[in-house]
Amino acid sequence: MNILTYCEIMDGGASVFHCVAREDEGSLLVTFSGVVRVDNPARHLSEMLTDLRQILPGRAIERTVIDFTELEFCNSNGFYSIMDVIELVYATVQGPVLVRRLEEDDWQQETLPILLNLDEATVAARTSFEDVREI
Amino acid sequence: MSEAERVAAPSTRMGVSFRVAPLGDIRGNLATLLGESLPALIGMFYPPSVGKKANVAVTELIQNVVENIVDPDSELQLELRVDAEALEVQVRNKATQTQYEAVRDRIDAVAQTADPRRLLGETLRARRADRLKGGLGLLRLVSENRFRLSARYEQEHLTVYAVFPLGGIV
Repeated sequence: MNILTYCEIMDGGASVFHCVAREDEGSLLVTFSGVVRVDNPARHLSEMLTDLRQILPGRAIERTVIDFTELEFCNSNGFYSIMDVIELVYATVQGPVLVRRLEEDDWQQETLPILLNLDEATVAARTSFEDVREI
Repeated sequence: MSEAERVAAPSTRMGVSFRVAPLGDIRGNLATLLGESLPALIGMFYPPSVGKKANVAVTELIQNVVENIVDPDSELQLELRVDAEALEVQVRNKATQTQYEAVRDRIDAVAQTADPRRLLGETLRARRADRLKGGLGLLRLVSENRFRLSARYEQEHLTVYAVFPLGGIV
């Protein structure tokens, strides 16, 4: 898979969060991993969002997977940043979106659908979930 | 210890007390350090979901304090208790009457709504343009984690209580 762009957040000298966008033969894979705990994650994600705005409209993406199964924690300061990435993906690519999430995680089961804006009919129609059991 | 064995031993009682002063000395992400320590600690006695809930509650409540320090010389107190009946988190810090009223109003609003998830969604979308943060953490504790929240104000100190009943879970 081709890495299109990525974001890394460092906290206390350690790498704590990654968001990576990859593409392969018409498939877009966006993965979130680590923990979102810093005060202002948007500051770290802004460059990646700019990249995605430039890159995605020119790509022939037919399907998308957004994978949260490696995201261990997201504090409420991170909600807007997650929404920014999700919204941009839905707005700039066509086709179905598969959201991979943890089966037994309150955030991913309860709040993530709100951040995805599933109340919006067009978003809901494109979205399906794969619930993954944490090992 | 297997998951089944942990579930079969719900009589364990445990508690964590933490305090720090002056708050102005805090360097780094205190909410993270405290929150991340809990899943492993609580997971020794309870199912992983209990430790995850404790992590969320402590992270959000401590973050609220750190972001709204009214007196850098004052103290923060955290009390966490888990037994077969409930997971309970208390966070106490010096606060103004206005800060207390803002917290109380948010707790009342979420307690009075029939659909906390809808309230969280509406609040997120209403505040997103300005990136306003206040109250999202409290809302999340109810909407996402099913905590019962309350607050008390006495002698210039605000105490926020978050309680999750464990009956039937462990």
